Amino acid sequence: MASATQQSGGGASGTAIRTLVERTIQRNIKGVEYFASAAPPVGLTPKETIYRRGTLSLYHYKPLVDEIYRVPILMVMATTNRGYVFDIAEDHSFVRFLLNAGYDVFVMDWNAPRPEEKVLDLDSYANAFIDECLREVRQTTGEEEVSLVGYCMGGVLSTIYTASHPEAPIKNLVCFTTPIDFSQMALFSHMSQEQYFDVDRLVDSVGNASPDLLLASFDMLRPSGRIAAQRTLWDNMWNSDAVEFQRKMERWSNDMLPLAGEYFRDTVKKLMWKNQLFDGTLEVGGRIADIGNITVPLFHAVALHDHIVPYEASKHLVALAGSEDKTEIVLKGGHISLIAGPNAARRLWPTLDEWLGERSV
Amino acid sequence: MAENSPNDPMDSLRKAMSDLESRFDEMSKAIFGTDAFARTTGAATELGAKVQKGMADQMSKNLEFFNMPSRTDITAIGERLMAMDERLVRIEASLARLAPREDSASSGPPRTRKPRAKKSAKKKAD
Repeated sequence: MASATQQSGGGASGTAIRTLVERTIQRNIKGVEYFASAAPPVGLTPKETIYRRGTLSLYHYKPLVDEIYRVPILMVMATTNRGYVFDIAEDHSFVRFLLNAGYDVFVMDWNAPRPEEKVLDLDSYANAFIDECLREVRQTTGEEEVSLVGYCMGGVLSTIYTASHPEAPIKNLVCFTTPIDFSQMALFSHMSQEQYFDVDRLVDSVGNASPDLLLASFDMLRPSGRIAAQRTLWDNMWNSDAVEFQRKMERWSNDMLPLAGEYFRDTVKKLMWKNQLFDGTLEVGGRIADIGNITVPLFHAVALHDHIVPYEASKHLVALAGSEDKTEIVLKGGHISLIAGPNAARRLWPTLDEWLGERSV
Repeated sequence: MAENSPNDPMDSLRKAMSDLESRFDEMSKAIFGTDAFARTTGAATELGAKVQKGMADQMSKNLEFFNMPSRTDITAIGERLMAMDERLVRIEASLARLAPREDSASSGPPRTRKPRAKKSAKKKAD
């Protein structure tokens, strides 16, 4: 008995050592390929740009099934990053999942704002742009109602729009990792304190807020993040799929956008300093965005290990909303892995499909 | 993403590195969370903006000397274009209200899809 255990233990160790050696060889071979190959392509699901205005692009993805739900989806991307995270790879594409599940998908994506677009403010993003895109979606589909789906700051914009336009034809509001109580965004809130951070001087001097400033702020939330990413990359270098996915995600997370000057000023003053969205006193374009005014079905997915938007900052959306039909789910994962990648495909996407499908007819 | 087999000799190294990174993060966050750090970063950002503004002003003077348009001039043209763009958007919106586009009725797949029956409901039906 004992000798059998010893033998099986010896066998397991032998296998482990053989795997280690094989992986080390593969790491060397694939490492050379990694440095020699071009950046992997992203956002390949067929789409059409149906509207474009400066920093805003509205995409309509080609349906992949023969029968679709009546209510189209308008996805609002966070203003700091590109929308291709929704379509990062063919086998890990949120958009493709939704298309295959029978949804008609539109995505509001952002380009780097030009210097003259420094005048765009929170009203432009949360009211004008969403309003224009809703109009385009309704005209394209011939449908009156639309489901609004926002990620991170895209969720904030969607929330502000829905809260301040109770008459708008929003069928459902879906948010992912959306901050409401900005005082709980610990480091962001601390670094942008009124007595230390002169947002007026910054915007008045340089116009749009530089992506380097934003990237540095995100890096500070997890200082070892870049080293950890390199370590994981080396560790998984033997596995082509893992490497390709990591390269795509790295490309996306480094591909940050500048923020339009006035929008940045509004975000810092109204959301970070005065916390007006949480207080229900946020005024955007002459309308008050009181979350209590939201009465449409609401779904909010938050990540258990979100280091960017902690649960303390996001938990208030469902609690404050006036909707009778409201759902909050807390899923394992981080800020990005909640919506993209293999974990999202296993956890969030099917859960959302189950919730949204019966509310899209 | 990549599955590691049990008894992987690298596991203990991975765990040690991960612990080290977590400790480094905690230590860094403690420093970033101090008022002194926020004050210094604020001052550095302000200084950077001042330098950038100073250089832009000087460059603008040089371009003016060579009779070339500066970034401010180009931005001013961009702003006028943007204002025209906004007016077009408003005109388009008004037109859409008065006369909806003919192609507005979707020519795609029929919008008649129904959600799949829930697993529990299916079980009950079975």
